[in-house]
Amino acid sequence: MGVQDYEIHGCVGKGTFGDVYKANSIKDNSIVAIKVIHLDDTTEDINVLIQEIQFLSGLRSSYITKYLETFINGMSMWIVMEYCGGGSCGDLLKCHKKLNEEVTAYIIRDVLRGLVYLHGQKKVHRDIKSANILLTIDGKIKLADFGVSGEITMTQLKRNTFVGTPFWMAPEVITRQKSGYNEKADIWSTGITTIELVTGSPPLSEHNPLKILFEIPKKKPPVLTGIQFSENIKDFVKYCLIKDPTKRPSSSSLLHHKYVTNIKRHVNLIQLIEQKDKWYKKYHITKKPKHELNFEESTSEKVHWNFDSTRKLSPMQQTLIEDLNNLHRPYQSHKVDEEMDADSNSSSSNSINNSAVTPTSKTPISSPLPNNVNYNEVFKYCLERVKLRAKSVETRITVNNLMNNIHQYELDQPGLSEAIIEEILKLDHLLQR
Amino acid sequence: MSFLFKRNPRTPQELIKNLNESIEKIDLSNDNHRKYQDECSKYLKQIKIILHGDDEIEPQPDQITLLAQEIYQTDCLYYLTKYLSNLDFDSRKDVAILFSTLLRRKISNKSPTVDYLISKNEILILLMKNQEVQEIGLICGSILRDCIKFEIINDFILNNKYFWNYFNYVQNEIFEIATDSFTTLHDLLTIHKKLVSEFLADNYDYFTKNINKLIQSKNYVTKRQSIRLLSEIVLTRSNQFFLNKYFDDTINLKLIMMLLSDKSKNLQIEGFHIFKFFIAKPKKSQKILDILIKNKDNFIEFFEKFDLSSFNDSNSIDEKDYILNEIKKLPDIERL
Repeated sequence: MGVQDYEIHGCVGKGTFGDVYKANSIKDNSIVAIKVIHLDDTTEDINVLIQEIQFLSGLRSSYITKYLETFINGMSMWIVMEYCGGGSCGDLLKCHKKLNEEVTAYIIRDVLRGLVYLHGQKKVHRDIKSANILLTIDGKIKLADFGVSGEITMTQLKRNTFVGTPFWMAPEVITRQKSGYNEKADIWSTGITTIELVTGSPPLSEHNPLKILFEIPKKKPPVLTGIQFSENIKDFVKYCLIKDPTKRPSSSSLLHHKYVTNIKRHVNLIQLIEQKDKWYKKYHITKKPKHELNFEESTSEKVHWNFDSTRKLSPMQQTLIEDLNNLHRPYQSHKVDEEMDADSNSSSSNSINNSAVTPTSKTPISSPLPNNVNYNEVFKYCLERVKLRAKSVETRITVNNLMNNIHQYELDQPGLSEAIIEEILKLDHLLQR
Repeated sequence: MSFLFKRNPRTPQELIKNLNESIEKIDLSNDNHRKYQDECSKYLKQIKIILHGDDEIEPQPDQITLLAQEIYQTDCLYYLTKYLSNLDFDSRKDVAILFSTLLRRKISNKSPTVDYLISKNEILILLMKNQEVQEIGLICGSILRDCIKFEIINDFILNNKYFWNYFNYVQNEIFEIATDSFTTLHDLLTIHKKLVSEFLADNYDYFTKNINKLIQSKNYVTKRQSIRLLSEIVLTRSNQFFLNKYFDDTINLKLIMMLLSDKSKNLQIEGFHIFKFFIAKPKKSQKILDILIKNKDNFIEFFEKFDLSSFNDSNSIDEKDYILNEIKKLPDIERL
């Protein structure tokens, strides 16, 4: 369960909070859609997101995209859903500009069926629009992208930051608080979507969405006009767009409306999907993700906290141990103490052949310092620190001289620095006993 | 609804009796399991109508009383819990509704269902154990959260050894199971303040060890949620004892300092909201002071760069300034 179970094919959609990828599930060789949400980008309580996913996992309807699983990869959340290969009704509109009434009725009927189920589960979709109505490759209709995006969209709206296009929003959603509307809001959006599908765009879409946002509640509901449209669809839209939500019909009663009951058996959605796919291919339209998929965790610089709470160590020893860490050598300072405690005889490996001082292998307390640390560097580093602490210029000059001398001594007598450090650590070891 | 009674006339007693019989007959390895599942589903729907009514009938109090009594007497809730995974998807949700409705039922200020569940505590234990079972974990979680709204049940669970399993459940590899368990764990430790403060005082070491382990989790969500939970616990006034002890322990300080330097901005912020207690605590232990002093320069450098502006929270910015000031007041590390 995780990233390794999926092979990412490419980005198939993008949103403010996450991009959607097509992927192959290695376990059962099926195609899935994965929504990747970057969790560290939002300071919102992630519990909202979690609750939505839990709700999603409890839905079983053939009119709703099936939830498969979620996992966490680094700082992103991967939500795996059923893949709808036919794209969205929004994609259909991009290619075909508008759909005819019969096709629209077929789509809207299944949207209503999905809503009947959802509303029965006491859930409001909140974001019904053509882009969220997906199609399977064999022409089935599925509602997608509710909750997970909806909740966030709403909190974003409250914070007056970015808002998704509000053309589909019911007046009461705009004017009232989050708790102030119910499933009837979806009915309004379904009405707007019906207009969108047969005309190519939702009403008022020629305006700036942020400017129109607060106009919607003041305006009279949009109407579908024009001799090319039947009375049935006009009537259906009129019912969906009743301003008072309490007078607006429910999804189950709308399913009895003539507009959706009079559907001919054969609506050739598959053909429309195929034409759309060809059109997309012809114009080489590909979707690019907003965020890069990041499999490697970025490494940021870490603070070198000093966690030693033993009081016996002098600041100097502290600095020494801490600074050993900072040398660009593979060396773990915390091992020093542990290994000093261990009764080890293996220190002979540390002896340097050309050493000018006796190796410590014969001394009772061994201090097996790793031999890949340049002790001359350690000394230099320590003395640099001492120099920084010097209060007067004289002290600094003295320390400088000491540094130069030590450097010279080490060149003359290789191994001197190591011997001195070993002795310091041994002393420390004895003091701690 | 009335047609159901005509075709299948039943008293509440009969209904429960039949439900108990059918549910035991469901054997998922047997081809006929659908038949019994469907029967259970039908009975549960009828129970729901007795309790809540429908378009045609209002719920009848005397019917509800008979139903509830029969449910307690026949241990129906036990069988429903035990065989929950044998029921179909929608029936499991109906079981949760049944629990929730019965729990809310009161007779002269007492909840007979709560008394029943305490006397027949196998049900509560089963609900705890099944939290990690795929398919039914979330249902068990939601039932249990309904139960622990009652302090006496919360008390029973906190003092049961299975409670500690939650610290494993929240790390379950199935996301929904892990996060649902976390919701339950959170509720168990936050709703009944007095009970929780006693529990934390009695179990300080074990609890701290467990919550610290979660904070060190590699899973971003587990990490972020558990820090949030810890924040909530220390911000609760009644948990004073826990708070004093927690902020005296250098292990905890180290853990929180690691969070401050985490690569996730959100975890840094969460870490900060706990770290501030170490600084603000009036009487600090010597060991804590030692670490703070030893890292004084580190802290000053860190907090001068610590950017909270993107979080639009002027409170936090004030707090940061206060903390930075307090750190600057710490004595310097001793000189040569």
